Amino acid sequence: MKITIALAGNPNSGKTTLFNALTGSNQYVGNWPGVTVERKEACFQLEEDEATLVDLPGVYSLSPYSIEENITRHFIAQHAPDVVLNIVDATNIERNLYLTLQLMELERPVVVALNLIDELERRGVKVDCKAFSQLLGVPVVPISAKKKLGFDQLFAAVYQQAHHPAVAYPVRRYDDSTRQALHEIVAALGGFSAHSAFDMDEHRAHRDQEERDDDHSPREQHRHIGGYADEGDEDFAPPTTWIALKMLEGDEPIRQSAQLSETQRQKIRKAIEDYVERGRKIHPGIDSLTLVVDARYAMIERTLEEAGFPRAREHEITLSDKIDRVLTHKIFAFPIFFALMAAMFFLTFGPVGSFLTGLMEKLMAWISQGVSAGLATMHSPSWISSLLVNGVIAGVGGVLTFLPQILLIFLFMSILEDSGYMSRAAFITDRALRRLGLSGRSFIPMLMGFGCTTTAVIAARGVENERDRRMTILLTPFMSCGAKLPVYGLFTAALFPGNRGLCVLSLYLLGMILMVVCGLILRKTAFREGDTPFVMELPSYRIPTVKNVSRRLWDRAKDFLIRAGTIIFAMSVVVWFLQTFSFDLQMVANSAESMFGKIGAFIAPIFRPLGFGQWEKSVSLLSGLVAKEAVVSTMQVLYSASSPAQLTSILPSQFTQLSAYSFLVFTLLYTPCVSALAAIRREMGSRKYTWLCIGMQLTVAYAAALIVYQVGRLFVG
Amino acid sequence: MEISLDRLRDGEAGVVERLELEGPTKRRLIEMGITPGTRVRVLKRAPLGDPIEIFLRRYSLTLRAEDARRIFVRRLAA
Repeated sequence: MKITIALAGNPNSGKTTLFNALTGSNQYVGNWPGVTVERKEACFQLEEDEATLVDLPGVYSLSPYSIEENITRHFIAQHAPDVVLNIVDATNIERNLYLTLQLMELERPVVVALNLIDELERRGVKVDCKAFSQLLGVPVVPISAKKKLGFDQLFAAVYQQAHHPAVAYPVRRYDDSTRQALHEIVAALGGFSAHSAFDMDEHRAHRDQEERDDDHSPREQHRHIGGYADEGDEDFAPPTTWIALKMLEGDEPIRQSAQLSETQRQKIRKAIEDYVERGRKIHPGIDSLTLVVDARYAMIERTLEEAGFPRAREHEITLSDKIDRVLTHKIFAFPIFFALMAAMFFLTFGPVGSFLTGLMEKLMAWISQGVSAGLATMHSPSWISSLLVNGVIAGVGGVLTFLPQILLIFLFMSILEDSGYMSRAAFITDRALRRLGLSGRSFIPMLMGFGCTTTAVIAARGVENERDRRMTILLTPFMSCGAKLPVYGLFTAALFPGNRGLCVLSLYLLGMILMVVCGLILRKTAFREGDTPFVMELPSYRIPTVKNVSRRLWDRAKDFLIRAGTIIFAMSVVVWFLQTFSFDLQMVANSAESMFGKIGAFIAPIFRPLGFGQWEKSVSLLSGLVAKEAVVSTMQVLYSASSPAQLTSILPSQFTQLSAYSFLVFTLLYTPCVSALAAIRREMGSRKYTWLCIGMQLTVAYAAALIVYQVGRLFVG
Repeated sequence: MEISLDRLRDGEAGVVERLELEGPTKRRLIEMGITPGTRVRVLKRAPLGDPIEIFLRRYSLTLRAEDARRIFVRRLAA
């Protein structure tokens, strides 16, 4: 038998650890359709069954507000997995069980894996899981995902639920008032089923329309089953009690989209009004949603009490609290934070990182020479060796040289994340970053942007809120990346020899100021709707394990290598083609004759108001799209300079100080390189945002350079 | 006397009376367990005074001051 097991749980409940521990290394990683939320799946043998374990996103509840929650609810209600394996953090049991109840309300067979049981026992708490199972109505298995304890019993419980499913109805243990209201609503709904009550044709039309649009997010809420059905779920048939619960919660869309008679509607409205009235006798001013939430928490509290959980009502001071007294201290927090960031930055982009990058460059040079020599002995046509050496190896190799630095960044990020410090970094920087419409989680990716935009964009995965993550990605290109330094170096040496440091510093500051401005504008325009609730947790500090860290590194490396082998490979070939051939498809010796050169000459007039309207300069900027440092190498070729020193002496004849500064401002701000764009496209999961990024950077770059040059001319003449 | 949650000093506890919030934020906060009648204790604040970490229902939760300002509690004597 083939069985599907859905793994659901709160963020930080040990879900990923359990997933890895249960499945070993044979996992498939992809995305959920239409969104960039990661979807992991793995197969393993469970007795005679072939089990597929699907890792659902970590969520706190199943409300209709976030993509992750929609995915989870949708998968359970519609794909009807054979077993829902719900991992529960035993050290945070009340809040975790809230999700458990919502999962059970969907009436699928549930198994609760009570994780971190060892930690709870160390605190002197004994849990009677048998009594607990009986009270909850589903098997509860104590485990330790990290130490792989309790897995045999867990497998047995899952197997049992898959073959002899036992569905529990948690609402039966909710308080009298809630049950009465639910009973009245279910009675009013009568022979209600999702298929008869909701118009499925309209829903299908809506879905087909959405499929035609490339961009899936942020999606508009469907009117279907009150917005609960999305993406191909004509089979979505939630239990009637669940629909009644939603109505009781005051879910307006579900009430409106249900096709009910006027009498039915009146009965339901009456049931809800009575419910609220009963509740207000205890809590004046309370609403039905809060009452339903309270009913779940009351049931959890009672269950825990009956199962013999001690009433640990007060916060116990742990080692983590003591560490936090230093790391989140009013005065020390920021110095420690900046010291850590500086160390991380220094190691990645300083000696260690550049040493590894140098090794990678040597490796690429060696491959490149080997291939050219090999091709020469085989007398292959020159275009083939040009394609392989100047196109593919130069392009893909150029991107591969970033690999060591990307891995270093992820090494540090994994350590920060697994140790629990990342949450503290978010905690202390949140207030300052929120002014820009970002969150505390954005700080580290933004900082990475000074190193490499590609890395930073990928690092933004750490920002769990979708809207903040997109904002972070859109704003990172304003942080002047490391590849622009050679350009600054060349120009400041040639034209600002006395004020090099000041000149470069001014560019970095300009980038940051414009980031703030654009952040504020985006927040007022494209990202205005975001009333996204923000809560987070400061998990206990833990010592990161080599296994977890290396696994993450390997995932990232694989991801990066696949990207280098596909999209970047293709782009490199295209750019090589444009640089090497003329429009009549002749190979050219002088790149001025190439398609790139012609395009450069064509667009050159656009840059005249900025002070650099010559084709050599626009072609340099074009090649900068491939990699920013290529601006320098292209200039070297186009101005026939044999050495960087010679180029430095040529430039003053081509630029004035003012036009040079305007050129630098443009270089600082215009569209990031193809590698970064590919990362943005991938991480955004949307073409619309990629174009928004390109458009914004070009506009800002042009406007800023124009202002610099035109205003500057008033003074310099 | 009813005060907003952010007015509790570090270490002080209170009982939630009502939430003056709407939409997703309200839902998220009550689903995290901040319902009327729940006991909460302020554990600490970030160096800039915001966010605030509170303890409730046997766990610690961090929320922003702007949200805490709209949660009203009755202060409990120490």
